[in-house]
Amino acid sequence: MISLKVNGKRYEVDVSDDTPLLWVIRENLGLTGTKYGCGMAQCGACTLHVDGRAVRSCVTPVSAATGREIVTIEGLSSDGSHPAQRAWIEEDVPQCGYCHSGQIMSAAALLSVNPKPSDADIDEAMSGNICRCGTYQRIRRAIHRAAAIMAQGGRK
Amino acid sequence: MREIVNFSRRAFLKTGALIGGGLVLGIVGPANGTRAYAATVPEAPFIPEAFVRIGTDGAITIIVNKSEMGQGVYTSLPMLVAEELECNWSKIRVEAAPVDPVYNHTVFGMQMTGGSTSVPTEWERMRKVGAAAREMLVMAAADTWKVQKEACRAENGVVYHGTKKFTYGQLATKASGMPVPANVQLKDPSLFKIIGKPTHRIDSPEKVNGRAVFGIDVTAPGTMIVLIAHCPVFGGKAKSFSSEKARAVPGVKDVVQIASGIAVVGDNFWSAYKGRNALEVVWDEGPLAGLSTSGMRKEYAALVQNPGIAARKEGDPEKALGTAAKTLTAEYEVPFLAHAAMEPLNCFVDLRAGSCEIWTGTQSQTADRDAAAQIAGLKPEAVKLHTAFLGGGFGRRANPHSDFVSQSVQVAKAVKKPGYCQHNCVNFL
Repeated sequence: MISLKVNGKRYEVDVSDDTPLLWVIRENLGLTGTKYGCGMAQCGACTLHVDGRAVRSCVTPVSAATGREIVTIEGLSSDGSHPAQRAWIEEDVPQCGYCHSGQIMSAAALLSVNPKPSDADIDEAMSGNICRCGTYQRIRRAIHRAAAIMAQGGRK
Repeated sequence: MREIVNFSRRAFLKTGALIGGGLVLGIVGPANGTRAYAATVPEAPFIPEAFVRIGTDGAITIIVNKSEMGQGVYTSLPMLVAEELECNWSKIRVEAAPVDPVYNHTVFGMQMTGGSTSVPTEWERMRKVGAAAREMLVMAAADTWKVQKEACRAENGVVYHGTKKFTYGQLATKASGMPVPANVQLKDPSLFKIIGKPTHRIDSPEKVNGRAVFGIDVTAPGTMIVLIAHCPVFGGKAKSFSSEKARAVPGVKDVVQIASGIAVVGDNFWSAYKGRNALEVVWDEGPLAGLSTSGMRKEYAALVQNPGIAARKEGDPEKALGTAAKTLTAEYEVPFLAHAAMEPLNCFVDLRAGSCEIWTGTQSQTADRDAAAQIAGLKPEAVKLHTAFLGGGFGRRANPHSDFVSQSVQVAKAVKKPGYCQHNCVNFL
């Protein structure tokens, strides 16, 4: 049995140690907001937070995540009110939407350490998240907007 | 310019705005407004075959016959309906259409999404649907008040006559019994309030909180996960294989051969993945074994020396070039663009004696359903196909051979166990 803390809840899961965290989250816990894209940390669709840092869950063995705080897109906010989520809606960022759980988790991790990122900061932090629809310009705008929401007192 | 559309009831039926004798403005409470492909409800009921439902709670459900793959069709087609329906945009929600001829592409004659055709080909039909529904609501109100319908007006989800008013929700039940209007008058474009105006996408909220259900997210208790080893060369086949090591992987339930490869069936992804890696397959790479990028480039370079087809010709370019003081020559090349979507191709199949239910993100519902029926040995009507969100389409999910759906049904058939199969084509663009 492996013990995990995800979105503030404790879980015991019966999986092999080498199972990627992604599959435990999706299959065992039923949290399907975290997406599977490439399985080799090349696309960023599986991004979630481990102890506040953006991590590619498809290459993170579940055994490396025990005892840590794991947050998925479902746990970023209870009601879609995280500044990044609000900004994503206001800027109509998603198209097909498949990559955006990962995009938002990367953006939230960036904003938590850099509340007013420059374009260059954004490009650097987001370069590992691929969007096949090509929404990059709106992602950048949304991150600036999220920073502005935070500056105006919107919670992180 | 005011557009008057005349069409008989029969013609209206033929346009597919409704079947079975009534625009569905039925009694639909909030509990029934769930998506047909909700992951937790694999036995979800077959939804009414029409394009709009107005609930007694005032909720307006637009049934969209096109696949949402990022192009925004779950917003654009409802905008067309809502413009003529004169409803409150915030009351709109969307359902994916089931497979039925009523939802066929108005030009291609089958249910499918592609070629940037959705708005142009539904432009008139969706507006007529909205206009007809509005008319029936107005008729219901006028009949209740015993006034002429021409003296009533519909605005923002309410029908007015003088100081009297009814909401669409209050009128929904009665309106469903009203005759379908023989003529509907479509708005003059100068009066558009929604069409042509920046409108937020309907599907953004569920795409930023992880709740949007893509094909790959559909599951049910006891689902088996299937990964297929395909030949590295397109069109190749397995010559021979050994499944002994794959079967020894904990969690691997079965290994079956299908036409296009070797399928490993596991009780979770990681088992199926490790099982597939443990397969020993000898491939017959087939007729395309010699195909390569450099070879194709050479072929294209040779072909470009041939005279091409003139798309447009003005003046006499040969003469102009011959007398020009200076000429420039340049070669342009663009790389091959793979129709690769972010969401790996996948298909969820529930195959039982006499029925087959499929959830997938596809651009090609009719063909996929028919292919599944043929493989399963069922009539097409016995196959229910539910369209989930597509994690990108790019044409890859409109495959004339219905490849990923066909493979999934082949595996479900070969496994011969009751239960669900979620097939993820991880190495198969």
